[in-house]
Amino acid sequence: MQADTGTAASLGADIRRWIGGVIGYDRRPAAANATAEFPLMPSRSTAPDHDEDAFPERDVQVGVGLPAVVAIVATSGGPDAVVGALEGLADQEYGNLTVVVMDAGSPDDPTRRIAAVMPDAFVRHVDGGRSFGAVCNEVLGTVEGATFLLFCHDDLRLAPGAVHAMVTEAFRANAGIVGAKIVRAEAPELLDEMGFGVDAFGFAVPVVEAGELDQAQHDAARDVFMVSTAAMLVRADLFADLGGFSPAMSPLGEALDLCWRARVAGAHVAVMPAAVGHHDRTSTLGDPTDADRRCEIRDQGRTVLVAYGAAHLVRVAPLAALLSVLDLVVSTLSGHLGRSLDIVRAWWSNVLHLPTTLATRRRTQRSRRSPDRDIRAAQLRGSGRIVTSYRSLRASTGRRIPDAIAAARGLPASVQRESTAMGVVLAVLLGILFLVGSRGLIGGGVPVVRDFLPTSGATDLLREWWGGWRQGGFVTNSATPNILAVVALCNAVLLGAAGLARTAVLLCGLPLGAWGAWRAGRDVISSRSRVAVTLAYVFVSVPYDAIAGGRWTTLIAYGTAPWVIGALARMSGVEPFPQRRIARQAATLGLVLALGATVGAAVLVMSAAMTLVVAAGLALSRQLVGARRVLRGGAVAVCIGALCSLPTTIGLVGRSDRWSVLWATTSARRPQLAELLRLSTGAGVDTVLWFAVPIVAALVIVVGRGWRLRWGTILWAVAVASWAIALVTYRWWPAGTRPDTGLVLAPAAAALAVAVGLGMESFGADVRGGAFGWRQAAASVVALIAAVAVVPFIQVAADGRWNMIDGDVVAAVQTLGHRGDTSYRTLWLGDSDALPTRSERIVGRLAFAVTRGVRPTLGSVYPAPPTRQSRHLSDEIRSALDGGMARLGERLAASGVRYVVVVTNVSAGEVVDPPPAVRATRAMLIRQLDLQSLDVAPGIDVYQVTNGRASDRSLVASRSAGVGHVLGNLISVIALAAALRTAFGTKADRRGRHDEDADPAEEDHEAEEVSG
Amino acid sequence: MSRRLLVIALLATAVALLGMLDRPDASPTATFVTTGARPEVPGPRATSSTWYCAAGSAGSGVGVSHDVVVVNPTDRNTIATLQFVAARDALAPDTSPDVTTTTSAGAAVQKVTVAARSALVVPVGVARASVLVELDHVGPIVSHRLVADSGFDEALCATNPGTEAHFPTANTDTAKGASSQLWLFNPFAADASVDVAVSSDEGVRTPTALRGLVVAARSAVVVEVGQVVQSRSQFAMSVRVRDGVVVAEQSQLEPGNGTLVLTPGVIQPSTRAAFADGRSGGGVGERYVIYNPGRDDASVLVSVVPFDTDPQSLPEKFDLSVPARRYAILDLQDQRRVPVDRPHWVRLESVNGEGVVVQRVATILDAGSPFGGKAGTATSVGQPAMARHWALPWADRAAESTSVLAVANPSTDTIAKVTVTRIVAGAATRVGKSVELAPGGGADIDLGVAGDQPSGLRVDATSPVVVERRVLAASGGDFAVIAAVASHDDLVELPSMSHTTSAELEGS
Repeated sequence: MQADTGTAASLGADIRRWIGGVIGYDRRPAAANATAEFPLMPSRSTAPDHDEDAFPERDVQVGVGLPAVVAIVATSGGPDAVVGALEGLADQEYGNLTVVVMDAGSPDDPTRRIAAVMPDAFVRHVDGGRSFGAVCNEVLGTVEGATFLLFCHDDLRLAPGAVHAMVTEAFRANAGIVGAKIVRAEAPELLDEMGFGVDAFGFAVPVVEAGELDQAQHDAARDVFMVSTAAMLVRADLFADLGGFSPAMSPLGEALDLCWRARVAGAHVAVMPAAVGHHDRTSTLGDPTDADRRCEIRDQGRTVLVAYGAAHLVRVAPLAALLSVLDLVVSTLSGHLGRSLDIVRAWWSNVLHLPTTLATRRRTQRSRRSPDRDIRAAQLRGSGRIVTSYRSLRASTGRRIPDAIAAARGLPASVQRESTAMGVVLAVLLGILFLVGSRGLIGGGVPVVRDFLPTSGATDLLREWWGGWRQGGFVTNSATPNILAVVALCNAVLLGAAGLARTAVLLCGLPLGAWGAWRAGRDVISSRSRVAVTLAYVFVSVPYDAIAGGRWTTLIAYGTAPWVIGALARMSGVEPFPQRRIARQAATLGLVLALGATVGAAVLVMSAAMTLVVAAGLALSRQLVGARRVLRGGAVAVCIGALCSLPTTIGLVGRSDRWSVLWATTSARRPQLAELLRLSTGAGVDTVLWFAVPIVAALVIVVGRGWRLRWGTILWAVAVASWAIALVTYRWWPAGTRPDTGLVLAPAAAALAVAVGLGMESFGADVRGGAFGWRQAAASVVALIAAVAVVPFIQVAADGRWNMIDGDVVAAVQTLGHRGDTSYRTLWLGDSDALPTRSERIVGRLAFAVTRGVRPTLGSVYPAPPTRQSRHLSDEIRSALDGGMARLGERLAASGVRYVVVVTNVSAGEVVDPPPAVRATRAMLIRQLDLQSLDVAPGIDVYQVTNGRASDRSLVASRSAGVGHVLGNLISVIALAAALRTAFGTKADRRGRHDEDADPAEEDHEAEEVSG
Repeated sequence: MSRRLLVIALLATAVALLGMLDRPDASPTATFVTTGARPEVPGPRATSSTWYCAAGSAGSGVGVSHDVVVVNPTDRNTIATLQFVAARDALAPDTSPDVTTTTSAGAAVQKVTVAARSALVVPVGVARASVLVELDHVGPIVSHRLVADSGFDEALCATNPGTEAHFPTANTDTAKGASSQLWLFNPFAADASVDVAVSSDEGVRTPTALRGLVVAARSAVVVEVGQVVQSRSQFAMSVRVRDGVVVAEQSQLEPGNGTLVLTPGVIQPSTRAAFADGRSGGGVGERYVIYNPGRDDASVLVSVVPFDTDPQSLPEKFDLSVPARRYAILDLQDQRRVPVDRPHWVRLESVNGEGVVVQRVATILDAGSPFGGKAGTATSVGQPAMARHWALPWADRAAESTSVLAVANPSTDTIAKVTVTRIVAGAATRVGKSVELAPGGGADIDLGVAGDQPSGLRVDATSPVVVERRVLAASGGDFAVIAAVASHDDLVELPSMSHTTSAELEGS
């Protein structure tokens, strides 16, 4: 590049012309008229200690022989914001530098202040509310004669010589864009930024880590893929060719987009370490806000769409989409819901703005000078997002609690060690174990058993969820469960892989429970103890019995129970937990409960019961304040969960069969105390080795002291209460109104798992290091017992299906009709615990269910209230059972029923002796004159209605959404959003939360403890 | 006490209390579930009822008339829809279609209205036809009768089909002209396939001809048993259905003895049974054929309880062992312990729980019998349960036929006051005075002649009883014992004989 010194000579006049031509103000840069309205720039005369006459009007100083540089300082922060930047520019010895301040809607006019600092600077007022790039684009076509444009944030102060160094590097490296070494203004020895590498998907990875100590280790000029706009020197002709910054992008997106397009146009991007800028990161215009950060993913996608040629785009775009989906899943599962929303928003926005993006793409591709393979060579290999995530995991070494406070609370030193890495290792290990244990279900699909219902397409699910028109059974408009929306979302995320989505949703209770167990001891016990809690929770029988039995509500209760325990303990504020405001904890717990309640509202009742027991335990241990806090927080959480689960929760209250709907399917098998003590329902692998976890959990009672003993006692109280409820309900509650044993055992399992962690903590704090005594002996014995806890787990996992059945009844009867044929109904009869869908009771345990076609639907996880039709059908069946009807088929045909299926067992092909009521039903059906028995599978009696064609006008019904239902859905969405905001909030909220959440009284108390 | 010990003690106490809760429940009260082994009126939730009358003839069919009797003891009219399904000979070459007739032939369907509190006799116009009777509400009962020149019998139509049907006694002694026909009626939508096993003194076999008999949907077949089991005066039969269900009934004709017997198949063996009507000696023969269709031997106690006898002086029970798939015969005429001068009722119990089927065969041996006739044979399969309310048909062919109602009170501790009401021509008329039956007691109530109008009987008792009606033909040439029907919800299990034994011991 050749410096255009001739042009430089007339630069000042050009700028004057531009300023005056555009805004019509006085063309003088001096302040002859500044005393009037300060229209253009302040005069030094405005400064009280300067004499106006001492600074006569003069032309802009331009150097001779130097390429002309115009520094564009965009500001919107008012007079004080820009001072530092101007002072830095004023310190430059570069002889051909012109400064233009773009004032984009500052609250106070900065002209006077600018004149005071840099009388030669030009000021241009432009409309506010625009991005940094949009403001800087004002120079396009108006500044003539400049060789370079130097874009600066108003909070960046360039060190002397920076401009010169950047210009030199631009010539030396023949770079189109040159950045500076950005250090922190408050600590210049710490690096802030020195350019970015970018991967194939537009993800920018900084060359230096933020806060890295500057030891000249990066002080070599180098090519980078992009530099930020904090100090960006751009060749003026290049900037003009590129059309400036792309408007409506985030600051980082603007830089990425410009640098990438510059590379497409054949220019290099370099960073010059000799050019140092002190960055305050307080610019309201140039530095990204939280809102800007949320747009970064969108901007990355948009840039990828714009910058790649067609051939590369075809290869990169699918990969980018896949990574985006993966990112969404991981972010959601890891609780970074904000990022998940950003990803969804990015997709939405880019699809919406596709025409604009394509127009920009056409312009960019026309300017192409450099092939994509050269650009790809300059990019990072692999995924920058994954690499950065991995780095952040490894690099996060921050302490969670100040040492003094931790010491005052008596927390072990190990709690101070960051446990993220250990958590990741544990997560990977458990993930592998779960995948291995579920391999048969993942590969072959989860059978349709009890609550494990089949799903349908995302559109159908969403339509049913939103409108409330039930697709299965009798057509009725009633509250539909939010799980429909959840599964639909999973379907969409997994690109329509409905089977995989179903498997993932059905089994999510397993990892959710492990995650909850891991988090339950956060901040108060060591990482090793947290691992022990997690493993103890994984090594109990409850979830595998639930999977084997197809009891989804129990599995989801297992998933939520440790979250409840952890949240209640945290909300109590009882040692060792600090007293914080409970809103966030309650909101977080409420969200978890809402997630659980999408499957079964029973988790709300379970949480309420756990709240009562924990509060009672605290009260008995004279922690009345803590008990009150637990009651308050637990109640709020349950309310949030209930609100987020509208309209099903309110619908549940008003229906007569609320208890049977609430508890879902329950086993008729009476639990034995020995089974309960080993946390087993007896449904799956039943072995005495399941006793290992409860025995290990007793260690805290035997050897624990202080707060460990107190919490250990409370946790054991939760377990004992669970066992008592299981026994009492089966002894005295009527069938159909009592919870399943597994559901009741879930809190006990969670409590005992946490007790295991406390026992391990007690071993470290109360036993280890002491003289050998009974405590050591007990701990040794318990350690041996703990080792065998893994054995039954391995036994269950080795099956590959968690002992779930192979063939289900629904699959066995699929041959009856074409898949998707819903022009008829199927009547299912049998024991309520054996039917492959939720059912209505007829008499005793005999129940019936009606499905459209032969497949149940997911919506029946929350069955519609009994309708006139279903009651009539129930009466007809009762009548037939009483021996009074020989033409049941005729009555069934009137309700659209074509097939009658009598189920004696959840598994097809397995013949069992049915209960008396089912035997009576079979006998009743076989004597019907208009039902023809079909030979389908052993253990399943199928009858076809022979008397007339199944017809029912209600098979075709209105599909308009019910107002009440939609209102309920809206309320639930609003409640969900409010809870999400309370629980997670924005980053700014989170930054300030620590201070806000802390209870002042508690802090005083902690301070006293520390000083003491 | 340290805090730790307190916690451990509390937890141990809690677990101990839970252990108390964990104790198994007390023995659950046995609930009697009727199996529909005998005809019964559907429960109150039923809206209609269906009756199956399988046997449509006897012998060659010549001179045999078939009538269906509908008794409506309720207060509303009932519409009865009768479908007549002509039967084909199962052992004859199959030249006719399986499905003979139902709704396709207008004449095969007949609707009649039976007025409230009245009875109606509907002659079956289709020869050798099984009849399906559908009633539009619950309460009326249906029986059918076959009348031949030489005898007659009437039996309740079945209310339940089954996958099994057992017949303790059959006779194909051609020397006496005996003819035994097995009627298999399948009015249902699916074909049925059946095997018929024959148990005789020589063993159990399933004749090839009776193996895999197909009873097509909505059809009836009749098996001339004598063609397969020839010249045997006593054997038992079991019908076992491979697929589907059937209604089975046996018609037995012995022209030489002036005997026609209808025996509905017992679809489920029971462990207890009671026969209200009994008499042995004095010209009346009485024998019990106890058939054990199960796979294990049955140990059966038979107790003969004379009417108005002191419980302390009851005849000693008969203790019988019935081998699996075999039958045992108890002929009371040979037993001295049975009083001959008094009527009695009989109860049986399989004490080892193996279900049996019992058929009583009563025979008038000479003209001076207490039953009043000259000859004849009547059978009954007894009642496996008792009830407080019973209904019976009383629509005999001849107006001069005389009937006796036998009522027994199987209870060990409750007196039963029995009232009999005749339902006829829209009116309910009380028959005689109420009869009070002591625990274990029984009584014969003379009903007199039948009269011209068909009627029904309603028997109401203050505690559960068992009831049978014995009817003697006007000619005195044959007689029949007709069972009663109770409501499904009213039936209760017969008391165990061990209870009775205890009472006897206490009394002694």
